[in-house]
Amino acid sequence: MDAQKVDMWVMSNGKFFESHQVLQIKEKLLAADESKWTMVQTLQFKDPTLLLILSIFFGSLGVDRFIIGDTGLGVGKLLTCGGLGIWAIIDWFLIMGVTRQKNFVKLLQVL
Amino acid sequence: MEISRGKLYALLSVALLAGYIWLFYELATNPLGDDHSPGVCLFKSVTNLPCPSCGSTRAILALFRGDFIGSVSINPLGTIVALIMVITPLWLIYDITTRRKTLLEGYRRMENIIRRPYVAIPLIVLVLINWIWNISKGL
Repeated sequence: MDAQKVDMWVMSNGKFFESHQVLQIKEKLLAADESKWTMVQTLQFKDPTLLLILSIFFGSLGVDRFIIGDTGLGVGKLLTCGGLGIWAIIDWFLIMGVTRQKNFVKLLQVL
Repeated sequence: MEISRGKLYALLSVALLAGYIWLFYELATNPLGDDHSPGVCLFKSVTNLPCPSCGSTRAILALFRGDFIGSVSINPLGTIVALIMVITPLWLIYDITTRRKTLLEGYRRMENIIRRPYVAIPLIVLVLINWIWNISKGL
């Protein structure tokens, strides 16, 4: 893909990924075929900051886990008052990383 | 990214162990389930309102006494949690001893079923109704 396009895309979408993944993403995008561009452009990612807010306010209902697609874990959190409150607090620190990881996997599926 | 077998089984083991320790601790200190202190529920401690699954422990303790109707009237989710706590350990042991992954497959199938809108929406409505009931009961 065109280097300028890739740079622009990485600049505007970098916040959705872990910093150590960005370099890898850039290389993969540069190596990818031009026909993938439309697909990559239309991908929708989950915002880690939004997930952190959801986790803080509705974490003990499992809403954060439902949104990123871990439905089973979400049910587990919902049924146990957020894992007796402990899991809910642990997730405040984990959820942003998990969201970025999910975004990364989503991108890799297209590339 | 699907959850891996090792991760799910470790998570379930820890959760079940914590659940059983919690249950026996409650059984030893508060067997009648008449202590209404917020306890460990983060939501209730912060907002002073019960969360959708508040009262599950009391419901399970009622089941222990054989009081099924009392258990459902405290919180119907308690019965579901009790069923999970009985079935999952057996399933887990079966899978680990025979080196299979039937529980992982079952978990994924369950996830796929409840993700469908025509299943998810009624479930969400039920949980909300149960939540409103919890608040009106003042659990």
